[in-house]
Amino acid sequence: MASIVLNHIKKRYDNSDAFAVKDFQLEIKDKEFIVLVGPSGCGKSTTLRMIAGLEQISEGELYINDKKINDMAPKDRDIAMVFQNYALYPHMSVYGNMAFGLKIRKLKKSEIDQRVREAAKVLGLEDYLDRKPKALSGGQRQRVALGRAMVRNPQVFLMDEPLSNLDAKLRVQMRSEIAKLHRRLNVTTVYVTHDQTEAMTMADRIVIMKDGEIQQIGTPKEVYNNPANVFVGGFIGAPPMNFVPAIVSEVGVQINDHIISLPAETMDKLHAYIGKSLIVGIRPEDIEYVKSTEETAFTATIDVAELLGSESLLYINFEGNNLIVKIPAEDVRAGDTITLAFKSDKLRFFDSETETLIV
Amino acid sequence: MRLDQLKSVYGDALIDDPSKVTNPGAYDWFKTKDGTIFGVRNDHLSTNERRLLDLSFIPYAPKSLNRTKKQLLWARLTFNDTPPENTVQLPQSVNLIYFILKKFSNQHRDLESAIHSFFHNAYLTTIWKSSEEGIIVLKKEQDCSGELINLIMSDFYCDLFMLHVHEIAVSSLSRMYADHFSLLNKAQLLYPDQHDFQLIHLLPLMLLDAAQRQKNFDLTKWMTKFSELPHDLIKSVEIFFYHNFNLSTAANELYIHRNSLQYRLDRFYQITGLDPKKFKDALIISLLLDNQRYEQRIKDQ
Ligand SMILES: Nc1ncnc2c1ncn2[C@@H]1O[C@H](COP(=O)(O)OP(=O)(O)O)[C@@H](O)[C@H]1O
Ligand SMILES: [Mg+2]
Repeated sequence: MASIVLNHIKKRYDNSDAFAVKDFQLEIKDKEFIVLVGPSGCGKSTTLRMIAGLEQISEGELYINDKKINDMAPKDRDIAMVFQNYALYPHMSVYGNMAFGLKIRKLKKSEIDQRVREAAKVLGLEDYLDRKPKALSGGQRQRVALGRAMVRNPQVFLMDEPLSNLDAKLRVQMRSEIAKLHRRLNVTTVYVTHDQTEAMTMADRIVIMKDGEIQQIGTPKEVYNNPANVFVGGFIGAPPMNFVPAIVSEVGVQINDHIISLPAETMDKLHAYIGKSLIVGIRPEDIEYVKSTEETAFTATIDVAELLGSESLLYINFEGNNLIVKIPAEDVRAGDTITLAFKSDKLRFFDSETETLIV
Repeated sequence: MRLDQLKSVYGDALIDDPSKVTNPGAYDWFKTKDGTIFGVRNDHLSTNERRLLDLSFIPYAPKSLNRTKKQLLWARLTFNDTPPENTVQLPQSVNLIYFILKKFSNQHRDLESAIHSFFHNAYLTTIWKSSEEGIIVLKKEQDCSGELINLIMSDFYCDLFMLHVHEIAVSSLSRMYADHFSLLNKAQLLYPDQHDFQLIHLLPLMLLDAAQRQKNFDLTKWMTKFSELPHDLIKSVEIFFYHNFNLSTAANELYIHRNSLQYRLDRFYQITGLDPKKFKDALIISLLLDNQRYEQRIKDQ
């Protein structure tokens, strides 16, 4: 059982004049799987290291279960850390690897044995306890590394890009392995990654960061459907959201010569923008293939067509903007002219200056 | 040298009681002939000063470190330059990993056992210089140290920085250790989010050190010039280098147009006479930027 509260946490490193983390505000619920995601250098590891106690918190308070722990030593925080590239002691058995962290904490032999065997059972490693890491498959080794963290029965798991050094196949496998483990153990987890796919597939809630600042907090679905700003729309989702500048009129938005009329309720929210420009955002899959008779339709020539199994990615030019369109696989190729339309309920509008979501 | 003389030189940077500080790792600790222990903040020590102190006093490792017989021998060899009795077989040369621990909770024996089981047959000993600094001595080169750092961090809940030095003659240990520690300390200041260093990667640091000591070479003039540059020019050049001279991706990261970046790089060239787009100039710029960052960080501390 552990809830974590980060209350207006800031971090300025001794040797730097800028804040690496600025006013980080987040309440993590018990059993939640939280993913911090963002480009390299945005402050993810710094935040995690402050939770771990490896980094001093410059301002703000950190609570685990309502207890303020700003100054508590890392080893007393009841956490287990898993870092980039799962590491094992090469000359210790699987059992030895899992037991080591407990041995140095002076747990009783019987207690250690019980915990190691239990973790081995959960991870399907019972038959491998005597083996050395060399004699294991890649996936098994990763599971032993997870087991090393598991046997501590921590209140919180902290993971810093644990999958970043694995090959693509193992990465996908371990993703679901960790998710499965979380469902089974229900331990509050803070997971750091720069990979938005990882974040989207694993998180209960995602925290998207940029330049030390939280951009948005929400479920994968929320941040995907309603990105708080242009950065989030571009960062979450692959391929990213398309962005097109437009002018707001009385009845809709105008993208060069193309007019998209909008429902009254949307127009209400855009009222202040009439006559001004804003940014229209649309996901690649929210641009449809339609019959040319529909009034919102437009035609475009395909620059590049990529067939990805059941879907096609089309790179088109629309009113001077490059767009990516994702449609069910069609027999189209570069040079073809096709008719498309925006799903108007999926259009998102951002302020041109602040780049934040209007509606 | 007497302690009170040192005190007048280092002022508050000299502490005469290890229990007074919360971050003993930030100090170099020594023992006088009469047993008094004192520490000097390691960022106040130049390489040469450190060497002088190492020669005049005994490097001190706090009490929790009861050295084993073997460790005592290696410690003498390293810190006091006492050759062992000829009954002891020592290798001609060894590989070393200098390390600095942070937030370490004094589990020295357990840490040694972790290191030992990691390196297994290649392991010779761990020489503790202080309670948070030491040298792992290995028979042969090992290169999975990134894993060792992760293991130690997760098992001991501490932070760890390492510098690898290959093929060192045992007889030169005592001459070299102070320089190596000082390099690792500097590296940590300059590249704070990196934990694992090879000696060769610290070549820029060594070159800058050497340049600073050249009387016929005015590095200061250059540093002044750089410090007067607008911040966005410096930042642009740094990001341009980080992106391996790729204008487009660098401009993306800076949220500016490619042409604006181009313009900034040209401005940089006009002001400094060094062209970031030319490899040879870039090399020099990179060194000067390193130096600037380093001096800035020293000043901030
Ligand atoms: N020990 C440190 N000292 C000074 N600056 C640091 C240190 N660690 C990280 N930074 C800086 O803080 C910022 C955030 O870094 P970090 O948290 O590692 O980002 P991320 O994990 O998201 O890539 C970066 O600008 C980085 O250079
Ligand atoms: Mg990181």
